[in-house]
Amino acid sequence: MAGGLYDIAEPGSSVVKEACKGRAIGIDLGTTNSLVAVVRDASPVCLTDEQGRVILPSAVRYQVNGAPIVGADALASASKFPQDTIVSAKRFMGRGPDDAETTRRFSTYKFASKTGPVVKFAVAGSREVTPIEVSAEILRALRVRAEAALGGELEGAVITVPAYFDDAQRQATKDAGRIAGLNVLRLLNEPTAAALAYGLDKKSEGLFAVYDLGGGTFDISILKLTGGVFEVKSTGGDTALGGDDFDRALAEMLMQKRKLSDQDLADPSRSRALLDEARSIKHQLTTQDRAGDITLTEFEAAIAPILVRTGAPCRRALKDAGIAAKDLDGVILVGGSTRTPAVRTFVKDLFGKEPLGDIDPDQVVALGAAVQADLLAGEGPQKDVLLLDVIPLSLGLELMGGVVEKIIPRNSTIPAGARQTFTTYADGQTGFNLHVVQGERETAGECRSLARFDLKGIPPMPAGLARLEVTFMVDADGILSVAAREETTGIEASVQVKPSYGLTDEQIEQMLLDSYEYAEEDMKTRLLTEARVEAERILGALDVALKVDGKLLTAEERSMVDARAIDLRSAVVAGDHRRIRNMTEALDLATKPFAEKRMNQSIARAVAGKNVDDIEKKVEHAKGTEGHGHA
Amino acid sequence: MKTHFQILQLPQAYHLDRADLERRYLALSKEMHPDRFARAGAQERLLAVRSTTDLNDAYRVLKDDVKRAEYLLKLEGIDVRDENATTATKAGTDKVTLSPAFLMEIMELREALMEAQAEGSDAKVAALTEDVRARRAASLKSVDDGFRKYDAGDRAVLPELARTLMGVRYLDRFLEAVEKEEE
Repeated sequence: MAGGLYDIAEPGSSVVKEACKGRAIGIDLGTTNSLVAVVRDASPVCLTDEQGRVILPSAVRYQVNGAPIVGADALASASKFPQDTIVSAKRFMGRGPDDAETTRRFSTYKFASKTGPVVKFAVAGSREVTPIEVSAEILRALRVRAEAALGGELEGAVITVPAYFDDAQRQATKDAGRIAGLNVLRLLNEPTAAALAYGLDKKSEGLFAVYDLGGGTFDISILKLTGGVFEVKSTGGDTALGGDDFDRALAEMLMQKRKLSDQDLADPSRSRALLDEARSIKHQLTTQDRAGDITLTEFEAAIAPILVRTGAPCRRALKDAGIAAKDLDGVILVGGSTRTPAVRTFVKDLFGKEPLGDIDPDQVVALGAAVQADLLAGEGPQKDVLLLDVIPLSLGLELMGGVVEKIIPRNSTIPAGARQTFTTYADGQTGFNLHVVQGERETAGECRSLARFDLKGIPPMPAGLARLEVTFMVDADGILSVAAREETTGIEASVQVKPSYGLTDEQIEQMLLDSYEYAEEDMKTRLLTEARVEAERILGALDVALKVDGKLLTAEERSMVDARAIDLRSAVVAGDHRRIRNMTEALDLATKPFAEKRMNQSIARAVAGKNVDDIEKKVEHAKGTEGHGHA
Repeated sequence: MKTHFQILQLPQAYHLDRADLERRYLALSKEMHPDRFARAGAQERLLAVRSTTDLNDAYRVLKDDVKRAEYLLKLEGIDVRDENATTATKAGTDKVTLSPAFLMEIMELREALMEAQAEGSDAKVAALTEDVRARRAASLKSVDDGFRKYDAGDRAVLPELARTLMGVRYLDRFLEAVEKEEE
């Protein structure tokens, strides 16, 4: 009740809130398929396109002229336009031009010359597009679908990502959302989204494993569900492992049976056609013993090594969570690839438990994302629902000799932060070269390189005297920022970790302007609308907060806040989006002491008040049903 | 800067009720988590991220017996993660040192482990691991006893606690070496 400004419902106080009601959407941006869902009448539903289809194939075909074609139509013509049709763009998100993903067999893409840090596809009309832009096309199609269904501007979107996505992959996904014109409220881990949909629907409590095998990614998460709290204990996975690999294994088998050589597949349309056929066979084998010249037994033998690769992350996740398979109350299956009977058998043997799959494994992630979007927008009835998620991979710095010093270990609850002090190793050293990495290996070369930055201008001192304080902060989206400060001189440097594989703000703005959807004039109108909505939301919330907690402010603080609010109101009327943004920021700064006082008040109430009793009951209830003592 | 204990509004003591700790953590999370401020202004969002980061860190440390013990010592000015840690005494400061006998034992255990691993003898590795786990459990028992006195106001137990905890770090490193080999 005493939480954020928006938790307080007061009749007639928020016009903006009314206007945006029910317009926060959840998007599952999948390797093979994407979906969009929204909460209606307190339960999440997936939205359909004009033809009544829920699933949007994650395929984008670029044409010489005109807007790209997205979805089923793009997929249908993929073998005709193998190089202009990008499928599985997600496998390339946050990857560099030299990534192993670009040299996989059966690849039908033409990659652009290796300029810049991001991999690019060369497509029709001599264009070069990044996987981020391809994903943005998919997100845009879903946004348009949602706007049509809900009737107007959206409040914002929650986009799901594999739990095992690293920092660069998350940043790339967020950028894609922005390019698609979405207000990205949060990136949500796919298994957590599934658990949210599942837990709320089935009112489940206890320890659960979510086994999520999608088109191109594999995730395993262990969660504890208690009294509306979804606490991720550990997570693991492989962001380059999924149903795509089943298709490739089958394609390999078809090549052998038909005595085809690599030469026969030199034409990318042959590769595409072979992969399409393999996928069709895979689908048939979920209900049949034989499809074409492939038997079920042959298929299962071909994918067995792929399934085995999912075993190790599962065992490690259990170990990291400090539990054994027998402690689990249930195993939830997510992702289209779990429709393959051999996957179900494998999971059953691995965990010694019949897996649960009674919510459509294709839809469950989008449904969970919609629930989270609804919660974030402050509309949901579930005020007690709380998601506590973790980072999948350790974050660290490279030290002398290439050794990695872990700053934030994997499976830390986010938001997370840590501070560490380093010293100089050479006399007269005037700078630090910082290399931020992500991964579990001990040497930097074997970890994912996220960013490099320098701190310069330190006066020469004997070795070990300069003291460099490095601060890592991971936000609720799992995205890292790093700041460094030399303590004796106060020289500072900071980065939002994105230079290595991400886009700059300018590049994103340019991509927005370049998109086919908006003319320049539309863009300005859009920016103004966005700025106004944001300003009115802040003003509305402030009014409510002042009514409830205005007494916390001194007369001086109050008059500061009031003056800034008047400035902002007049800017809204004047209609210059830059001025509105500036005044919004100024008001926001002026409310800082107010925000702090309100936070302190809620904190005091949280521990002293009835909130604790409330949770107490739930925890005890959960303990009764759980029957094991992991806290 | 609030201490981890202050953040969770608990007295600065080693012995605590785990269920109560979890209740406090969840109650506070529900109030300050960034998810509660997704539509708020930038200042409030930042405040939510910072407070929740501190809360998560406090909970991570306090829920773990060894981390909580090390943290209490740090609050008392003894950093057992620092090889050159010192404790204040009447005569000045004393370096926290482990007995040569203990260090010798650890070295022998590590050598035995390397031999067992080289031989590929799982049984020997298991037996050594068992031995080290038992030593660790015994150390933690004495940490628990020592902190009972500390919680009652006795600061004289601190140097001995620091030594025991430093010893635990050596035992943990042994166990990590076993795990690494297993992976």
